[in-house]
Amino acid sequence: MRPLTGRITSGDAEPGLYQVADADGLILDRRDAPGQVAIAVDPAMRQPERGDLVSVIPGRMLRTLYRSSAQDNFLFLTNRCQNRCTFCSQPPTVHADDWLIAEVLQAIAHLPRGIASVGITGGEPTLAGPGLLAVLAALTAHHPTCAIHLLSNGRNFAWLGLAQRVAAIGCADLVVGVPIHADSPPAHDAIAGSAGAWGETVRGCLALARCGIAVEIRVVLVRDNVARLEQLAAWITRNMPFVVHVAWMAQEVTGYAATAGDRVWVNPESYHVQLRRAVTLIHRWGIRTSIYNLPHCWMPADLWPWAVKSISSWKVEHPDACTGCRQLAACSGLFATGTRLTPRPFHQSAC
Amino acid sequence: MSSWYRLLPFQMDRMQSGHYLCSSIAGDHVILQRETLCSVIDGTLPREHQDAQDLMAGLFLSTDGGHAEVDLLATRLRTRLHERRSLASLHIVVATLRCANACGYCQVSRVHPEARGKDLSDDNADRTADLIMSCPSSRIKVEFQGGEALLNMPVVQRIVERCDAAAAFSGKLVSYVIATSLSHLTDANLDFFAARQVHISTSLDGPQWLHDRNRPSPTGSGWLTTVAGIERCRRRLGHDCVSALMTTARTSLAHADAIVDQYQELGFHSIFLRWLNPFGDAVRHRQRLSYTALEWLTFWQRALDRVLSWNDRGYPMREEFTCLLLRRMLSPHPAGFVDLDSPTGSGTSVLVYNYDGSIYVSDEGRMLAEIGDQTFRLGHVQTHTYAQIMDNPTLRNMVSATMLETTPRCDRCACLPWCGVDPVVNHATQGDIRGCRPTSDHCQRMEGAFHYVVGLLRGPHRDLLLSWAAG
Amino acid sequence: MTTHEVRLGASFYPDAVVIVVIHRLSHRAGIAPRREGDELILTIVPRTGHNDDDLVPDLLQLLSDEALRQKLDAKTTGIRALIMAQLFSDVTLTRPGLDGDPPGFSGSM
Repeated sequence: MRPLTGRITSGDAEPGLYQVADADGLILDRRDAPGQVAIAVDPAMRQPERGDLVSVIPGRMLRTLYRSSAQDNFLFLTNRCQNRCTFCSQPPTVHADDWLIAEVLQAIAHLPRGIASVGITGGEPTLAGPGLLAVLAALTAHHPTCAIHLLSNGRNFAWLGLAQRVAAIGCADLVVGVPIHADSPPAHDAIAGSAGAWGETVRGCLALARCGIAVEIRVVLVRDNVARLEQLAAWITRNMPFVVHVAWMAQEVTGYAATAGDRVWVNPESYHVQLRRAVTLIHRWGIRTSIYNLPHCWMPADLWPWAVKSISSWKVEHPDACTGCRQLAACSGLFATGTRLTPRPFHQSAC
Repeated sequence: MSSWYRLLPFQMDRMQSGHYLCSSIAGDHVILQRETLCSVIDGTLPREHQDAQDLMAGLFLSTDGGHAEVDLLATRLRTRLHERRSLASLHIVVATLRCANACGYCQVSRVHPEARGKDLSDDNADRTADLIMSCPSSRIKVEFQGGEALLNMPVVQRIVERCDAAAAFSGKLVSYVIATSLSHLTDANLDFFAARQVHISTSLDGPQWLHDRNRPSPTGSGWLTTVAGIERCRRRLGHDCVSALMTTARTSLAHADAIVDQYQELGFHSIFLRWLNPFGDAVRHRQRLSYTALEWLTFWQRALDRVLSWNDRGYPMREEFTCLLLRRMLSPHPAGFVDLDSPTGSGTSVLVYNYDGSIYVSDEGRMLAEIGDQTFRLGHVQTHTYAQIMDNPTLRNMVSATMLETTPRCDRCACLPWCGVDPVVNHATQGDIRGCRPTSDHCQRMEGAFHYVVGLLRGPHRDLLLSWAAG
Repeated sequence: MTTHEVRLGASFYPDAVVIVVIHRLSHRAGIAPRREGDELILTIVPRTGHNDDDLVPDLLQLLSDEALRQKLDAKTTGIRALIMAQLFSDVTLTRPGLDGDPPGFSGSM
């Protein structure tokens, strides 16, 4: 049966019981209030909050489309992807899942007015084809000032037509975040798990830039690319001087990253020198740059100014061992979903 | 026999070390041993070769058909050419030919301070300002020169005021520089410079004995005047509002350390090591003044070494000629220096307005006119519009003659993506605006300089030089 | 007047290679080439002040390098033209179809 999409309006007196409003589809139980559906949420699960947007099959499935208390929310367009990146935290599937678009369009209609920003992700959102365009158009229509962060491998933008269509929608503030794994095609393709990935990704970035769309480069730090971080940084400054931001990202050890183990994982201490040189180089050429997903205790102190609290609020944790750490407020924390880093807190007594 | 890669076009030249400097179409470079280079060209470079990644990253080799590499290379070249149109264009205004100094290498054909008829008139000044502001660039730099520009301050002020008024109306950004020996500096001058944010550029050839020998002055010591002037300017305008240039005379060649040390002593964090071009008095006194490209290179390397060692000791200092080379080699953006560009920046990025209203492609073009060669005169401020100046066939010939891709020796040189020639210098020294490379001082100097910088980038000062490149 | 003569295997040094090197060394020497049988003979007349020990070794090195360079040029002349053409073109010249929509894109919304 099709899921219902709606907004959590209240938690009832009974624990775990919520009202979902504006749901499309059938009202299942006459005992429900008009226009509302009551759902029960397993106490062991994350409890939804008032204002959350959910997709629910009562008794069967609840998926949160939008978390009202989170700073960063992502709209999920498809689980398909052409790439099979070795570190992927969300392994793709191959079946058609166009129904996700309908869900997202519903959610967009109910996002709070004046929402500051939203992300679009997948899998690979451009594989949703016209669905992606519909989502962008809906966002622009309902939330014209909302900043949109589209995460994409960039490959389909190698076809200029798609880049032009996206540009034509006229989003007020659209940034496309594209991962580039290495400065040479074979190395990038090996990490992307797909031959020809580099060529299309690079052309995609150029096409986006040609159409006036802002591009961000994201570099996930894995065993096979940390030796050439500085060279990659230099490559970016020479070949894509137009990028608005470069993010250097430590791994979320889940999905493929978890099963690949040491074939993907790399101890951050082994790349401090390279990371420092890469960040310095990008910064010197006047391009904004940040380090994501590395807790302060696993970064050299001189790089702290570039660290960002990047882990989504519902995925982050500061384990008990972090209590009392001097850097707690500024630190990005660890992935609750999967990490191989253990906290090394900065206590008051330590200098 | 098929290879895992396909060759992209690139340039290569042997270095003194026996290694080969290779540059891609877009200007990235690698250094290869000859054996590696041969196997690259043969198609037999192994996939795991230690240079393979650099060669792919530098766009020397392509894989998978090369379609993305073609897009990248075309895009990078297009970007470089396109951005030149919006560069800050430089407009040099000769306020007067009058000057009290007697510099041995003077290239201005200066006249006595009391001479008549060698000043820019009010009427021509107004027309000059209007012409400058009609240039389509959104960022404009006006540089006042002479003779001694301070001897005609009323006209300098007049032009600044007129340009500022036009800028307020059109939204253009205008900046001003005045090149002066500071020998007639008054407080009123300083007030004006402060109010209008005029930057001061002065000449400092080195320690007192050297500077005064090159640049005799009626006051006895030009050096003393200049140093006092620098101090006054800094106090009134700020430390960084004054910059200094040096000119290398024959005497200077043996004193690289002393020259650099003098700049450091006076608190300068920037020195521009320049060679003498063969114009004006520099030609007349050739025996005493001139030197070969090789001699200058030796001097420059020594002086640059000294600059680097000051940095090592914690005193930040940049050498501007080296910065230019680095920017040409490493930056995706045009370097904004009109003297080294392909095609030439003369006339396209810079124009010179003489004291008599004549317009020239460059300072060098104006110097030639003073000795009777009007080849590079583009018009007059009273009779020509900006469009008419740009339409001059001389300009078009200069542009096509200085596209290095169309010149023998340049077209396959490893330094092609970074180098540039001055057609006026070619005309003056070789009788032809395209010039002939084997006998060209400029070619020998530039090749030596680029090769030297390539070597430095692989040495202990790599990081420092990278910071210079990024500006 | 000192004159040097150098004999080389003619097949290794086509005219195109020899001409470039003669030009490149013209400030140091006048060089006259002639072919006799399977030999290329270069008569070298150094210019004043340039009759040094490096002249002939430099000449040989330049010839070898130029032969290598022209081999490279021959292999890349096509793609060089393509890059230049792409530079001035508004449409994509490589991989047809890249100016349109990606495959599988239904196109209408």
